[in-house]
Amino acid sequence: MSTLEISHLRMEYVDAYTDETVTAVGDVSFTIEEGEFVAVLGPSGCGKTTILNIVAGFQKQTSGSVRVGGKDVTGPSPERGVVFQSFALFPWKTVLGNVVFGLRMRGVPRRDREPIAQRYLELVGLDGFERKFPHELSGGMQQRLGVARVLANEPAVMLMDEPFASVDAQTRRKLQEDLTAIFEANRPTVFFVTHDIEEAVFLADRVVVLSTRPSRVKEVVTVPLERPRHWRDALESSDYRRTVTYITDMLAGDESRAIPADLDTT
Amino acid sequence: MVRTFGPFVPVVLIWWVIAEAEVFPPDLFVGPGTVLAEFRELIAKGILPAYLSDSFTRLWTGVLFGLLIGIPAGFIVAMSRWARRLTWPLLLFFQAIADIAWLPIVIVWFGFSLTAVTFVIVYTIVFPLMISIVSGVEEVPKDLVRAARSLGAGRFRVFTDVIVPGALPAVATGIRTGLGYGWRALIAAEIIVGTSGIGFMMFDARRAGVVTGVFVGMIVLGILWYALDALILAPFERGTIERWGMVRTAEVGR
Amino acid sequence: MPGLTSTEDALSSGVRPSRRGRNLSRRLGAAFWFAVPFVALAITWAVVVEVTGVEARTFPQITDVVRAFGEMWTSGEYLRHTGASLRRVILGALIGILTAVPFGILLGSSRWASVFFAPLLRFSVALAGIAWIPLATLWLGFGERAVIFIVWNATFFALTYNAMLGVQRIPTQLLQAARSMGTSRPRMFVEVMLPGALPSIVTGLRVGLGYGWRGLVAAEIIATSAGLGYSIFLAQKFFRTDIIIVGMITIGLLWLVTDRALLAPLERRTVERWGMKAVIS
Repeated sequence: MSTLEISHLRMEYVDAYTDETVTAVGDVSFTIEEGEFVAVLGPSGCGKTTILNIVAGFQKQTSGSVRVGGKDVTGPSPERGVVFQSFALFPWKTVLGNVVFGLRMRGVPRRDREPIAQRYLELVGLDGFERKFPHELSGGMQQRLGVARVLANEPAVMLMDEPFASVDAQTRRKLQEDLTAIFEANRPTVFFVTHDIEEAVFLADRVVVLSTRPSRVKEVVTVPLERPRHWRDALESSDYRRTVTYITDMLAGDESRAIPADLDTT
Repeated sequence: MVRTFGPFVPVVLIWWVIAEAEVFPPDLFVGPGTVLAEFRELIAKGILPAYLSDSFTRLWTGVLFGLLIGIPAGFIVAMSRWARRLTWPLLLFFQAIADIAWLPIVIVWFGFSLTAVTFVIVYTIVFPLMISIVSGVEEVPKDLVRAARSLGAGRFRVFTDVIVPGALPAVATGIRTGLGYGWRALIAAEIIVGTSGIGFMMFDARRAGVVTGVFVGMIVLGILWYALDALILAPFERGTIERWGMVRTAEVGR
Repeated sequence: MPGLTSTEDALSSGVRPSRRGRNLSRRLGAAFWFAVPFVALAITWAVVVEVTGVEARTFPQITDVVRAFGEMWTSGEYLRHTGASLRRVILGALIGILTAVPFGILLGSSRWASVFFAPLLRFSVALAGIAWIPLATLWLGFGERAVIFIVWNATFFALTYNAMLGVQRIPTQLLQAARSMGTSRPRMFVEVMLPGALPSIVTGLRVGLGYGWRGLVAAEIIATSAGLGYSIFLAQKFFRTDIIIVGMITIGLLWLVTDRALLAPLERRTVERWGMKAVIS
């Protein structure tokens, strides 16, 4: 039984302004196994964030099924923790408070909360910052806090919605390496949405490539890179380059039909 | 201390000079010395403290009820889509009816009484407060709500742990606005209805043609509100906003 | 606990309930929903009065109010009072704007002037409006001038203070850029400081008019023999609750129109169009 099973997922909605029915997600099926890092990649407007929202339980699909651990998804749950592009940290809580939040919600006994939270803060490299508030952290650190917050709940699958898009290029590289390291140490199951091909290939075990809307799975590409991964090695690796080129060509025809980022509500 | 009161020194000096030079007729304009003397006398006679306490009592009774009604009502309306749809236009409209305008009908209902005055003050506070809370709740970033839910928070917890802290700046602003209107309504009510209170005192002095009493009343009021706003309300508002780590771009001169 | 429906339909981004897509229909829809609560209120009012059989002296039936309005309209009374109030507000506010904005900008442009005047201004804003009524009637006697003074007073201080703050908040780089392009002093005021301080000025106008409007009603009750405030107070003496309610609704509508049809669009056209945002007060 796969950790995450998406089967013939379809999402339609009515555009409030044009009164047309828009099919954001046409027919998408794929699975994610336990301990896998899967990137969901596609041009702007292909509905990848919509798929994530449906898996997270924030939206309901028009048809098709989403199952986590064999059970249908009916709403948000700590089983499917989300790392947001906007960070979504609670500004009035400290770094520690943010991580402890999920533990409190799950009823973890008071005396266990801090040690557990501490552990995850160390994992993401934020130990020493427990008493700080999110606005006192840099963008990169804030996102790491977002990751720690989700991991502390030991979710079945960690959903990441273009988490590094709000961060500058240099920090992004660093965060990608940090994320890979965390992944390789802990092996959570990860569903990672992005439009950046190089990011997807670097991070993932497999890349689900989507077409433009109405989206369907063009291909699921297995990334032939060994772990542990580092950017320096990847950039020099022919396997890496080949995979990136392959996917780039696959998407090239679709780029011209992509929807401009600021109109993309999916 | 010096920074707060220092700038007033030259103002008081200029005031003193204008009064001494009798730029305006002395029965219409008095100097700081006269005002101070009258102030002392009113305190000694116990008049000022008595009136002040009357005004205060009315104000705080109204404020208390206003908060007790406004805060829960505000959140209830904010959290329910239907309640909002049904009441938002009404809220806007009732907010638009100047609180003072309720005095006549309230007098018809309750006579010239404390109840009448309290009603008006409660009214002044409830509507700005509710409106502020409703927009405050709406402005809580939806990602925060989603984050909380995907961390296991049920609806009740989302309310207590995300919505309420998130809307706190709006509550603070609403209280501040409401109070600003509230004490003004009180003064007007005291003038119109009153048998006691600072508003009454000022109008009474005016009736007797004693401008000093009016000056004393105005300065006492000004100092009290200034102190309340600058020392308690504004910092509270700013504090709630700073808990968010947000920097508001413009302070509202209220 | 009522459901999180407000945030929940925000949660389903991109999924909106189907509405007639066309602009006109959408606006009609919005107008409809805006009117529904009032209709509901009117119906509740009518029903409650009927059912409880409350005296007209205490609470009039909706038909009484409509009739009172009709009478006041035909007798010209309605227009006389409403016109008086409007005239005073407009005059007071206009004089307020014309005096306060230049003064406030002037203050803001000078370091020492703003430091000197700020506490005094803040104090004056704290006191603005109603608290001046006794003094105003002493200085100007009862009547028109006192009322206009109160409106002016409320708008003047709030506007000056906010204009001053607004100028102070203009990024120094902006002023430097203008200066290095050889902008003369007067042009600085008009073409840089005025637009730059506009968000604060509009906020100040909103606050000031809010106090001014209330001051107007109070002053009319206390100090005049014409105007909406006066008319509802007079009606109270005769227990004419129907007239009172006509007055109250008028007062409410006038402010609603001022705020929504004048001030909010003003804010939108200037502040938001230029990408500047002031704090919502």
